[in-house]
Amino acid sequence: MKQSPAIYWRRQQDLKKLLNKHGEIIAITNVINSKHYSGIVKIDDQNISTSIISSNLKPNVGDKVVGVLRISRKNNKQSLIEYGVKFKLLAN
Amino acid sequence: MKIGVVGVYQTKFGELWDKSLADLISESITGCILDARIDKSDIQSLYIGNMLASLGNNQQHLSSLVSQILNLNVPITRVEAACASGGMAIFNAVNAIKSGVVDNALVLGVEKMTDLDSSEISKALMNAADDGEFLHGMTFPGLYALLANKYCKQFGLSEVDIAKAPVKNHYHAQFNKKAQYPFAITTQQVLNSPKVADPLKMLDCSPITDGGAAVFLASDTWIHKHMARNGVYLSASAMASDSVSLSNRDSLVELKATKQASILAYSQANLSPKDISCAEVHDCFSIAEVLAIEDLGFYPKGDGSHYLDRKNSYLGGKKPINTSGGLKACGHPVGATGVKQIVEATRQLRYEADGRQVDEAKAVLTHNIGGSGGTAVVNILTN
Repeated sequence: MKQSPAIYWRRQQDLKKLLNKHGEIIAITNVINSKHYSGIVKIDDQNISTSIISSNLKPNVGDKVVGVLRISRKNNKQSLIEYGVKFKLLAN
Repeated sequence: MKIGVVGVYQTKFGELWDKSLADLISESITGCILDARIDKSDIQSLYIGNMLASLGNNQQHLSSLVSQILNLNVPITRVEAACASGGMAIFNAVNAIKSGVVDNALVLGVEKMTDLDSSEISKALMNAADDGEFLHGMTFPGLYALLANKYCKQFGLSEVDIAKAPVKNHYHAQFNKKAQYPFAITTQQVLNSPKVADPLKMLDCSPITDGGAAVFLASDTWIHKHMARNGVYLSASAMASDSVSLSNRDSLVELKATKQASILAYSQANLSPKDISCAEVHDCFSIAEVLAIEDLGFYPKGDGSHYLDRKNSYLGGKKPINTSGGLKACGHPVGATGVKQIVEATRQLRYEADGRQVDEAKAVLTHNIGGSGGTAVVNILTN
């Protein structure tokens, strides 16, 4: 994936639309060697592809989640730390 | 206008360390010209299906490379639509002939994947997905795993049900000398193989493959004028598109592009799903074959996996699926796959499929998908 400060900056414009938003998992998987689960979350009437973070519980379809700010990547050529919104499992 | 399939050729699929991209191009085209019994100078245009040459082979100008290899100066067009690049090249060649701009076209599908390591090839393939999916750690096995999870949950099925697809396709590949993995596997081997993306295991996934395939298409007028080889016709070639991101799709238990392309194709060929003798469908992952045989109208939604049995989808069954071994066992050199499917369909209709010949094959459907379902090409061949 192409990385540049301009790409990071454009992505940041959308972050606030997802921060603290509540949603529901509609599809989920765990890709081997990935730190997080990956899935599709429904927020209002929109579906988004996202990472789903959970400290110890296995997330399932139907679970409620909330958008939180997390580091997306930092080992890039520009030495920039990119932040993004991931979704955290809400306690029942 | 009828469009005939005059010549076909497929290289061996596999990890071909001794062959370069240029070698695969040269072998595919030469083999096709020999099978078509034409002269190189008869070719009026070429279409190339390829996805990764710019990323994996330092070559983005494939049209010019092919011109150099063939020493031909006719119009040559590279077509890119991810894993449907080959199918899209066929679709474009058919339309060029139908338009009357040319009377014939040679379609080449080629991919040299093993010069990249597995990490590089995974990243390169993710160029066919949405930027956001890549950013959140998705891979193609991950995207199809989402579909598999959703499908299994909605229809009360399990990983055992979808594992029937790779087991069947490996069974068929035993009879195909050109297949990457010409040997049988068991359901237990699929279930015991390492997990790639829950619920998909390694043996649910098609491999990284080098390979090429070529077909020579011509109008019936050109065929008669040149007394060329005939007997197999491309009765339909249709394509449809959908969003690049899975999250933008209307449904996660069907691929809308497949449904739309198949409706168009059946209409063009004046045939229905029950008229199809056998099919080559896009089984990049086991769940993809289950979705395909439902979305193509062969079986009701949610029931597809029940028909992946000897009575229905195996050789000798009512409607054999993926007699070549499919993407899973014959191999998946991405840009070549859609063209290879036409080669297999033609072999079936010519009764040249040796140990995997379908009895009384009269209409063969091919189905080629790009990305997670963003592009679908459906062709129907008849004799």
